[in-house]
Formats: sequence, C-alpha cells, structure tokens
Amino acid sequence: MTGRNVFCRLFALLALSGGVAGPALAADDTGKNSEMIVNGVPVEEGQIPWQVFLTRSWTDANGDRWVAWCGGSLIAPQWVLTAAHCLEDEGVANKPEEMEVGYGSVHRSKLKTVKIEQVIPHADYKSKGSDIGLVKLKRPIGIIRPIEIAAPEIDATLHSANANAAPTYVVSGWGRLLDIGDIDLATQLHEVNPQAAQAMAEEINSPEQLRAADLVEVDVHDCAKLYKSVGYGGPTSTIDVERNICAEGKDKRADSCQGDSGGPLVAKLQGKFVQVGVVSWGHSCADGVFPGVYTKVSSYNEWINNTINGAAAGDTAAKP
Amino acid sequence: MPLLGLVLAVGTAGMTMGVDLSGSKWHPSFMTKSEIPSGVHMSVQFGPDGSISGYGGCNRFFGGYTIDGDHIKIGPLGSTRKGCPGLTQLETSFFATLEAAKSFAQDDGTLTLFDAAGDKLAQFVRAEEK
Repeated sequence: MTGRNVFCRLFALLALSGGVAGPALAADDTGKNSEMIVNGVPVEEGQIPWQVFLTRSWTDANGDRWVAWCGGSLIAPQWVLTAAHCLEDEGVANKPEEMEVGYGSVHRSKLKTVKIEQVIPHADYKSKGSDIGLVKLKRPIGIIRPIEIAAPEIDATLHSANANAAPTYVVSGWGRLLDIGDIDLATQLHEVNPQAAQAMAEEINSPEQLRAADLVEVDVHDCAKLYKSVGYGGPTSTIDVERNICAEGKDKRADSCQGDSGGPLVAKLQGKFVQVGVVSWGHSCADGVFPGVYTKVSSYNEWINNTINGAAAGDTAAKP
Repeated sequence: MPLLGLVLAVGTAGMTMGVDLSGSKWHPSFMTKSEIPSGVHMSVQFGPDGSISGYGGCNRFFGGYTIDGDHIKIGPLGSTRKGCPGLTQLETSFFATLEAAKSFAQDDGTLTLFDAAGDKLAQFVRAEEK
C-alpha cells in the first residue's frame, strides 16, 4: 500500500466515524439525534448528561507518570456507576486520591472535576466476573439529573415491547474511534507525514468529544457460545447469561472500544433513558464477528442500592 | 536426532521444547516489537482448562490457548476496554505478539515465544509464587 493510499483510507475512516448520518435510534425527547465510539457520531451538549469521565493518574516506582481512563454514569448525585476493572489493577483497588471524575460537558477539555471519596469494585469481580463498581464522590453533583438504573422488571419490559425484534441501545464514551487494524494504518502514515500521523493517532485513541453509537442486543446464549468456541472461559471472560448483555451495531460496524469501559449502555423506555448495561470487554472492536460484552445492570440493582444505602447509613465497608 | 530438532536444541540451549505450561504465570522481559518500561505491570497466565489470561499494562486480557508438542496457538484474545494513552501501543503490541506465537520453549525460569519462521517474538520470566 502506498503512503497516499494509507492517508486516504485513514481520512475516510475518520470522516466516516465522525460525520455520516446513521439511524436516528437515539433521538431523545428534545428531538435531537444522538446517533451515535467505533463508527459512532459526536454527541451534542445535553444529550447524554449522565455520562462522566473517570481518570486515574499515578506515578510508578521509577517516577514515570501514567494516566488511565474509563467512562461512568451519574446514578445518584454523589454516586457514579462504572466497571470494577476501572477501579483496580491486577486485583488491587485504586487509591481514591489518584482518581477524579469529570462531568458537565461532551468535550474532555471543558469537563468540570470532582474528587473521589471511595471506590467500591464488586467483590466478586476476580472470582466471578462481576464487572461492576461504584464511586462515591466527595460532593454531590446537583446540576445533573442522574440516570435511572434498570430494575429486574425492566428486562421483561424491554423484551416484550417488540417480541420480534431485539432490544436496541445507545452506548457512549470517549473511547478509541477505530479498531487496532486501522491504528496500524496510522503507524504506516507516520512514515509519510509524522505530524499528521501524531494528530490523527491522538484523535483516534483519545477523542476530544463524547461519541455515541446505536447498538442492538445479541442473544446472550449465542454470544456465550461464540466466545466459548474460541476458548474463552476464565472467571472474568465467561459470559454469564444472567449477568451479561451482548450487543453490536446493526451492521456489526459499531461498538464500544478501549477507553469506553465503565460507560453506560442505555435503553429508551416510555420516553426516558434507563441504564441497562456497563461497558466491560470484547474481542477487538466492531470486528464484525464478536459482539461487545456488557455487565447487566438489572442483575446488580440490589447490590447497587444496598451499597449506596449502606454507605449513607455509615456502613463504609458496604459489602456486596 | 532429526536436523530440525538439532537446530532447535542448539538455538535454545538449556531450554526444553514443548513442556506443559498449564498453571504457570509469566511476566514479559523482552518483546521484539516494543520496549517494556520497567514500571509497567504485564503478565500472562496459562490456565489448566485451556484458558489464558493476564494483564497488558492497562487492560485485563483473556482467551484460549492450545499446545501440541512445542507448537502453541494463543487467541483470539479479548480484553477489557480501559483507555491508557501512554500504553496503547505497548498493549496492542503485547496482544499481537501473543497471538502471533507459533512455538515456544521454556526452562525453569524463562519462557520464549517464536513466530512461524522460528524467530524470537518475546521472552518471559516466571512469576514468583505468592
């Protein structure tokens, strides 16, 4: 492939991921479209107000500085729902003082920040793959209406609303825009135009503006079978049909990706959005074969409420 | 000894080809395609059930592996979806290295992965038992 071809293909991929109109699935009550991370579209201010940006900055033993980030959702004025793996590294819970939550804008550079009081990854993450966690903020965020989390009965409603069609969702985040194979193209572009390659790589890996994509639910039994057929089976990679949701783009081209972990997967029910999933893991991103895997919020509704209520009552241990 | 076996034996002196990796955990010490910063935690663990898992510096990864003699097939690998701007390239390279492995050799403290041409892809040191 020539350098010019590499540049043209990357440019086309970025244009496609940013600007082509797709299905208006996520139109909210304001009448705006929030079509949609990989093959999603930019989100306008106010369309997904519950979305937060969870960052961790730390210094390793050699003095090198590192940053990691995830998505999350404001589910109560002082509580953020995210993935357990966003709150720990190799089984060790992150220190709250190394983390902060950004909120209040779709632009990363315009986010307001709030410090964190407590991180609570689900105790069963490592042993059973319960990839869900809570973050208690140092102060409430009063200006944003939290998103409702799905209760168990929501699932029945979602699946009975249209018995012939799978439920549809919206996923959002500041995650990677393109899959790894396309990032290799950016590496090739570096040989042709280093500055353009650098700018493009930054936008691919760390987009400034929040994005969202329309997804459709994939039968969780089929999804579990597919992943099991290629050897997935450890505690954190076994799809539990009761505790996971699988979803992909309608044409299999949209997906959450690296940087979107912990972010919300929402459904629209009777004119309002309800959070049904948390971005967890997947093979590649939007590769056309493997769906993304999400933690099913309704299965942890009780744990979430008990933890928040327990913390409010002074039970800081908040056991799951 | 067949010629191929002789070549392998000479090329990996002191190492054993095709020993069971089940239950072992390793940390990468060298990768052909990327330099490994010393402060970054990376690991790979081979489960007794054919599953492989580990930590790529930013994300947990998992999948399956099969071994037939000294041949190994790893993946396809999946991972969690955390973002780590300074580690993306390293992690991507680590996963690609594991998936590209076609054969391996190990001794008590070292695991080496090779590509289809028999060239070294990566070397690992055995994780200490906790």
